Amino acid sequence: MKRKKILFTGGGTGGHVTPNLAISQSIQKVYPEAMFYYVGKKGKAEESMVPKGWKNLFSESRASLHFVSTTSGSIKNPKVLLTLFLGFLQAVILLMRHRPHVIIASGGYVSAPILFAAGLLRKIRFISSKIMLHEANAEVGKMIQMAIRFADIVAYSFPGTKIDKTKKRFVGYPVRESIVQKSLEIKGQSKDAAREKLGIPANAKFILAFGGSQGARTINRGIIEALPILLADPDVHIMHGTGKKLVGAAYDGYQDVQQRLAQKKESLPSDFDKRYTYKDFMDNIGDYYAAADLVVCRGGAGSLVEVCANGIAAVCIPKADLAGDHQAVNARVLERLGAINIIFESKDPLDPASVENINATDFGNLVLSLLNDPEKRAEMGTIASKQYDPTTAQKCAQLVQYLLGDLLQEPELREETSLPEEAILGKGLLSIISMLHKKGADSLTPEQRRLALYKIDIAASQKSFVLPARACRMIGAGKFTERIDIVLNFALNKQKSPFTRRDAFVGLRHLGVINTEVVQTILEGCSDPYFETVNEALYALFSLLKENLVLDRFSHDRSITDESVSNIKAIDSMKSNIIARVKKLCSSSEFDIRMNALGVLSILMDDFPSINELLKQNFFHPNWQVRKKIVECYDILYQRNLVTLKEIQDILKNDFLQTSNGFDMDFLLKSEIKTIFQKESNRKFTDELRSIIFSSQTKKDKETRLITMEKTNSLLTTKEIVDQLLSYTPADFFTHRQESIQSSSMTEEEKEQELSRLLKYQTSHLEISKSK
Amino acid sequence: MLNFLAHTITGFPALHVLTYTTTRAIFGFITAFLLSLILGRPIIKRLFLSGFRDYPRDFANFSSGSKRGTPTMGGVLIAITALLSIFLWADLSEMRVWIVMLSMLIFGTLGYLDDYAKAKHKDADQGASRIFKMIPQILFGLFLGTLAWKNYGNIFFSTTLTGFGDSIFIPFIKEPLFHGSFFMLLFGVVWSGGISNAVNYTDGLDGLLSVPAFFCFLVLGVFAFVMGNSVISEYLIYPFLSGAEELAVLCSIFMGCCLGFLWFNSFPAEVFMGDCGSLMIGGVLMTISFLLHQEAILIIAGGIFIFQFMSSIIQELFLKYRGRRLFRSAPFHEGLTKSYKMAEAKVVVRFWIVSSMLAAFALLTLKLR
Repeated sequence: MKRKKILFTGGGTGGHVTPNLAISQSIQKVYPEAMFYYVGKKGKAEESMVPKGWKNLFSESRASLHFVSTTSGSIKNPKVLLTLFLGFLQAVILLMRHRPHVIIASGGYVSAPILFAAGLLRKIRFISSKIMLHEANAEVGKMIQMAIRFADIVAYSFPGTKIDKTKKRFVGYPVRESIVQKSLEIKGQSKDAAREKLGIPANAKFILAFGGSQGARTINRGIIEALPILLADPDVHIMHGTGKKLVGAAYDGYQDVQQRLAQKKESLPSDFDKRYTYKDFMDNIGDYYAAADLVVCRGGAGSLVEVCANGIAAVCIPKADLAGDHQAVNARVLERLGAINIIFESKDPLDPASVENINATDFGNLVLSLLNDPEKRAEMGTIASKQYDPTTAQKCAQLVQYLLGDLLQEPELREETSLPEEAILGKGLLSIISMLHKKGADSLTPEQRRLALYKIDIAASQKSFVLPARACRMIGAGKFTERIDIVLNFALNKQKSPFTRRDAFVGLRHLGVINTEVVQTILEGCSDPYFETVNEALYALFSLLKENLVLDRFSHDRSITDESVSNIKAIDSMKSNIIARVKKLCSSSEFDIRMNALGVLSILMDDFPSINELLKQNFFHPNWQVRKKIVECYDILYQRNLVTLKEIQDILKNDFLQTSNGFDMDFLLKSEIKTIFQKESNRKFTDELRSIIFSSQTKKDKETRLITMEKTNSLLTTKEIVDQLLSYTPADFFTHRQESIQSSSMTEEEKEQELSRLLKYQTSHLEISKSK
Repeated sequence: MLNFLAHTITGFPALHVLTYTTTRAIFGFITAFLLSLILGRPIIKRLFLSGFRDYPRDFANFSSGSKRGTPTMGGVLIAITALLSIFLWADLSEMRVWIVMLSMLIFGTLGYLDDYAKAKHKDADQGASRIFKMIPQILFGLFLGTLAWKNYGNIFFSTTLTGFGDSIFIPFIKEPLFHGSFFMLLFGVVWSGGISNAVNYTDGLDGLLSVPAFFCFLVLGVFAFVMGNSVISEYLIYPFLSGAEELAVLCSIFMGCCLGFLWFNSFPAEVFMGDCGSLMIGGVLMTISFLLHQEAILIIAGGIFIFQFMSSIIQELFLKYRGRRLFRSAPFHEGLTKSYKMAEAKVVVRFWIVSSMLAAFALLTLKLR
């Protein structure tokens, strides 16, 4: 048999390297003679991890480690492009020289040069390497996403990962042999034995908390903050791995914990140092796993798979990271299966100096409730251990064998649990916002609202121009009234970008909350230096006032609470204030500011001649949108009973410039095509409409049903609806009415009465139509 | 080719009329226009069938008012008619004609690749990357700059003005402002990248590009005719460039192409020009103005392009570094249609009017200096 050559690539962080090393171990078992290559980037995790992991291979000179030039960042940046191009050339040389049989990549920008080079060389048939990708996280990384095209097989770790169907294989997260062995040992080891070894009482409730080798600030601080709550239960014991400070790292977990503990000492029970221990590094972590009742950890794929392997209930605190929410998505998959619970970290968006933290009370209570519920913990543990497959690395090796043709049949893989698609996490803010606008804020489940709030907090605390602005929009779109203080703060915050201030007002408009604070903020926003902000502030004021003060045909389903009444009264008292401020903007040179100011005034001013004078000044405004707004203003004034329709008609007919250069085109051929496309939905809609109109319900019921219909259907214009309805003959009406009387729940007597009345009506109707 | 035939066939004195520049220019104009009419329908059909269009995937949102689904890449029509007319009417022994055709090839291909990528991904943002487009533009700019600086092939040789190649002229002043020597390289690069992109930015509404381009070609054609004619150039005190009048023929051919394209592109459009057309027109305008060293004239006559381009660039910088908009919307025509909600046909016709005014102003500099 010819010596097989296997090339691994991927890295940048340890999370990309460990699965590769695990797969390489199992491949070594299948192909004991094989040659191994690893391609990484100098100075990254792989430089130290690979020689450690492949010690034996290196000593037999069967393995080598190569470095290529590569970097993360946008490909549009010329520097990045140049670096990647150099790396690409290096990769081409490497591939042509060694001609590996299989290329295994775990993603990350480090694998970019090799993957692109391999994709190209394979296409022009210079090499015939097979390409296998492995995605460790529940969300597909950018690099893997791009490389799926060239790959033969894409193995993945979490159920529900979105990958092209023909290529995806669910294997799980490959774990190194030694760890598999250890986990089996732990399962064999009894809890009591482990506890005896560690000196923990057998009846204790033991928590193991750690944040990886470097430690996690959020977990360290969260544990310390929650200590008074946790240690109040005399049975709780805690082992806390703070993490070791690496050379060059900014955060020293051990020192941080030491300091914070010293400050907290007074509020802790006197025996706390017996029940709470912290170490910078735990070398016998297996024992702790065996003894633990509950684990508190990060959401990296590696930590989660350890939790699953040990079958322990866990509380996960994923790292907040907007570049795709990797950890949060991973943890969510397990949470939805029921294996773990998540506490999201958040950051105070209003305080730029704040760091990510968790709510210690929530965290402490969640941990305590889990500790006091052994049945639930047991259930979580069983679900978790089902998610773990010790043979993952072997399966990967078998897949490699299959790719090389040494295994005729594809290895049988685990069935993946199917999960419904996630609507919030792992999606961009813009797509969530448009989803919310489309489906309405009520469509979110409480679970989804929690995730959305987490996204909002993280986005709002970013420093960029765009993300806080989008967070404001999202608050409005989802009607997250609990975050209104963010919007109110951002709207007047001159440190934020102008876009953020503008979008804060957009958010306010969609939120629909009106009280004195909101109005005050808007009035202050009217003196913003940026014109779009002023306009949005006025528009928000206009639509909020219109929604709340002007009564129209949608008004009767408005919920009226004591709070809203008092709010409106308060605004009423501010009226003169608002009018004075907005009147100044009526002569603004920006047309949209001017038109919204007019709109606000027509809602608030009670004196028709003076508002009419203001409107009249704009009757010949060169921008027709201002004039369109004036028509709307008159409609509002009419609804407020300040003017009669006759008067409005006179004004608009005689003094108002009606010609404009706003014009919409309509392709006649396309509208014909459209009717064909929409025939089915139109028919359904008008049928429903007809059934409402002709039914024997009360007028009010009909109205509410019609309103809900109007809100949901946006396909037809009013004219089209009328046209469709007119196409029904009077005979249709009578048969319909008859049917609905027959099927209604009236008594026989009433029915007969009703039918006779209908008959009378029908004959008279026919007579009238004849005489016409 | 007809010019060549008229020279070789000696028996018919009537054929001699085909050697005059003016007659060839007018015949070229008519030919290009008629060719566009003849070839227009089949090419539009071809483009539609080969998928250079966008189509909504969701029929529920099918809008009868939107222009989606209109075939794009109509620049192919311009290229074909222009090339056929050039082969018929231009003097192919003139080097300048070949340089213009080279620019057509380079910029047309660039635009084609861009359009192709967009059509393939069905997404207007997925076109060829900016860097990819920039490299050939820079190379062509360097090529033109070298020709001007070193005066290879005597393309920039004037019998009446020594050192014409690296001179920089501005309107209203007879003498060259200064001699650029090797700065011509830099100038060539800026000119090449700037103008072709500026024209590209302007494209966006039906007929918004073809008519301003028509006026630019008209102005440049007049200047080419003046500078290529020994008598008129002496009278108007312009450097005499032997053979430059051939560029006037090219200009009038392109005028015909623009009009022929407008036949189909006028509101509501049956075909879009695409980047293929806009980059190519930009490249040709840029090359002709550089060959005549009348860059400033193009800046005046094509003021619309420059204005659109600069406003977009400034807007983009503000978006990126200040987090706000400076203008309501950029390029300018988008502001008018999207923010001021002005009807498209109105905006386009107003742009035409402005560009005709600019062209008149540019022609004024012919005598006023």
